[in-house]
Amino acid sequence: MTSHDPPDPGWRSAVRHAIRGMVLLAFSLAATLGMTVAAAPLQPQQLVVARVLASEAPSPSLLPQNAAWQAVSLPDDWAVSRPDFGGSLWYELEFDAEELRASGALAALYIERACSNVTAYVNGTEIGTGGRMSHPYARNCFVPQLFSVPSTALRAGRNVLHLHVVGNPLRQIAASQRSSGLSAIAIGPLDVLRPVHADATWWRVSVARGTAIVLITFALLFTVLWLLRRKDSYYGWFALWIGWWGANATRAFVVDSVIPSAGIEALVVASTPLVLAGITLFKLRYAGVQSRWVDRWLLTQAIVIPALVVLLGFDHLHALGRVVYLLQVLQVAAVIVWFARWAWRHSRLDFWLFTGGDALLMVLAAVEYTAGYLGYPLKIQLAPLAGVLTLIPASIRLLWRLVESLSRTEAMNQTLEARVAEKSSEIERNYAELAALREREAALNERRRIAADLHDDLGAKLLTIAQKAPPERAEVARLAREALDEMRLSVRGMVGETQSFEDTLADWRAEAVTRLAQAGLRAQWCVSPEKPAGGLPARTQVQLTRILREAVSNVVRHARAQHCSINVTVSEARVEICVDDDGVGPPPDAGRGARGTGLANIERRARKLGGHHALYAREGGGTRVTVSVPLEAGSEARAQSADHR
Amino acid sequence: MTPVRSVLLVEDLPESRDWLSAVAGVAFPQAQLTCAARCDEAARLIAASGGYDVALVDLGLPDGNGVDVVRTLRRAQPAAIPVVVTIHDDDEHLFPALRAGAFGYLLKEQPRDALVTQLLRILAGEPPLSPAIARRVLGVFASTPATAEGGAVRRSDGGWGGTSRQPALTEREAHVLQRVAKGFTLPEIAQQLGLSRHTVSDYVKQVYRKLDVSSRAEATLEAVRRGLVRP
Repeated sequence: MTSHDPPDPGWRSAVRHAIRGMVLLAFSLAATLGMTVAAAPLQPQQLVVARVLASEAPSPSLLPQNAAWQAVSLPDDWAVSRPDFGGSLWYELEFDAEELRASGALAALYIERACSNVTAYVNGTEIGTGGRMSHPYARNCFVPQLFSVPSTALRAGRNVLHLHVVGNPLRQIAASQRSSGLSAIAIGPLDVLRPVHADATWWRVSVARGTAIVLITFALLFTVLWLLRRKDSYYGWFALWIGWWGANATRAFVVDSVIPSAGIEALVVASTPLVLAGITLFKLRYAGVQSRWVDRWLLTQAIVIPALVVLLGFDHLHALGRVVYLLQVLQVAAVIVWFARWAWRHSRLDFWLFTGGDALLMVLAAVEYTAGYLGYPLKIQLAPLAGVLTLIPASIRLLWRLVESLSRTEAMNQTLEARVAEKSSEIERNYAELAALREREAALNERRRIAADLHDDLGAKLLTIAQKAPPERAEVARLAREALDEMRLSVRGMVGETQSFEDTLADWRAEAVTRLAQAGLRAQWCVSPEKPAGGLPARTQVQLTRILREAVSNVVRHARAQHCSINVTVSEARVEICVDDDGVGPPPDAGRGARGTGLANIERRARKLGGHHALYAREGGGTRVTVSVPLEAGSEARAQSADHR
Repeated sequence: MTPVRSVLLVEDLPESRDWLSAVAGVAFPQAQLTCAARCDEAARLIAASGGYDVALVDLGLPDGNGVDVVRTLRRAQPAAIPVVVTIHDDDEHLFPALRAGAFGYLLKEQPRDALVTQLLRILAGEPPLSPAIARRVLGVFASTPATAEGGAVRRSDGGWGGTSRQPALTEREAHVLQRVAKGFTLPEIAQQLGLSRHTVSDYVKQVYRKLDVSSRAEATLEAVRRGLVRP
């Protein structure tokens, strides 16, 4: 975050001096502590009293004699002491090197800040430089300098230190942190000053460089994301935002630039509309808001501000920078507030992550602004750091969102795949069912055709025999009728579907009871359980129908009975039919099947079904025929194969 | 029963025709017998003739199904009594004939005396009813509201039941049918319900009549649904 100095009121220098005093106090306190701990190494001298002379002389020996040197106390901020000055300035300081020489330690000169560049001379001998001293100057505003002082350059008593400082006039500098000037300096043992220099370099240079690398890396990452996902344009705007920030921080790398300092300053001012557009549009697009009005306003700034930079030239950069920065800061603040309100309403997570980062940004901006306002040189460059600190939560949230959408897609994919698999298995199943159904239908149609043919051909012929048989050959007609009946049952077994027990038992009962009644017998019909569940395969049903028919026929024809009792017992695995009569009982040779074909037929059919039959005399007279067949599928086939053996 | 004067015999097989002619001759000695071998011939005869008292109709005819002949006869001559004579004994074949208005069916191969007896019993109002047929009859009426008398009913689909009477079974008829479906014989049912055998037979006859009416009502409704007839 950049800020700028308001004009210098009288009280400000008072505050500045107070703070400076406190810092010095702290420094000497630390020095005292250090002395007690580290066996009293020699402490550096702080040099604050100097004389100054504006001169283009390239070396101390060429400085004009009898020139009008002015007294000055360090630090000397040109923005305050000589706001319009730009160019070459010579500082002359005096110090006593007696102790330093006596200690025998290597001596060094530490300059915390010399902006834009400095070259140091001790007693006329150059001991070090920050870089190019002519236009464009080396940019060392944030680079602390440490020059070692050769012992040969020092002399007993009074030593003279010349610091040649070059800098740009304030009007060509957009932000006060980079205004020219010279800080207080220290001279002392190298061993003591080196860590001080390293520490300052770390905070003022390395941190900025590191953040620049991080910011640019992330900017590249989000640019790639944006290129891959143009739809989510907020990735692109975010990349622009932090990319600008990172690019701005790369100035920490550039010391010797071919572009004049004012050119870089102009570039920074001209490009600020980019970062404003980045922040604004990122937040708007992230919230899913599209406003043509905002887009146009941002575009206008992106055109007008660079145009103004070009029109006004380098000499109005500082003034223009103040206006532009203020404008941008206000707009960013407005956007941040708007986004905070949106996030608070729509997504608390976004609120805490983004608004947290934004608040941090505001705080750091306020700190840097206040520090700049007070003219107190901050140890650290806050702007790049602020960029990183706001970047972290925002990046986390953006990547989080990306991963979320990836996971969602994955989950959706899985659901979809599962659904596809389910559908295809359903289709396969349906297809298999359909195929089975077609097969069954085809088989059934074929059987129906055969059945129709049987009726038409065999049936018609048997019918003719039955009808044309002469009355004296009644047996022929009877056999033909029986054959016809057999044929019907066969056909039914062939084309019939599984029939429920209830229906089958009703049919059996009606037939058996009617026939027994017609023959003058009293019939008793009993089924257990009363309503058996399940059904009978057509073939089993047909065979059992025939068995029952034969059994009833036997009772009617041969038993000479008055009562007939039929019991059907259905269990899970078997059907048992038991036909009792109170007639004359079985003939003695019943076992050899001499009693007509009826019993033999019963036996044959029961065996065909994989069951068994029994015939015996009841106690107290009469006959009992029992038939028991298994119900499980395939029993018939097994029995048939057993038959073939 | 009014004496039978005119009998129509529709049968294509010569042997069966002779056989059934003989049966008819014994059952209705005074009747005049007209024979047809095909559906179209039968239809012509029905259209031309004043009135048949009884028709013996074979199901499998060379140019169609005897069921159509039964239906044509019932439409043209409601007083006629069609009886199906067939070699099939399964309800798949018989039920359509009963729905078309047949009063009963005879299995062709039976001895002549048995056929004559059965024919006379059918005419006397004892139509045969096997459990399988009873089950199907119950199925037909199961969807009909159980009011004693049908009437003009506003149908849920917005059409009109029209003036045709959609018959329903009475409670007694339903009871009889349910018992037949369970395999009880008519005498047994008469005993169970405390009715005379005759009354039970009347119920069965009534059911047959309703079956015919119901099939006609259904045909009408179907025609209305298809827009063939304006109710």
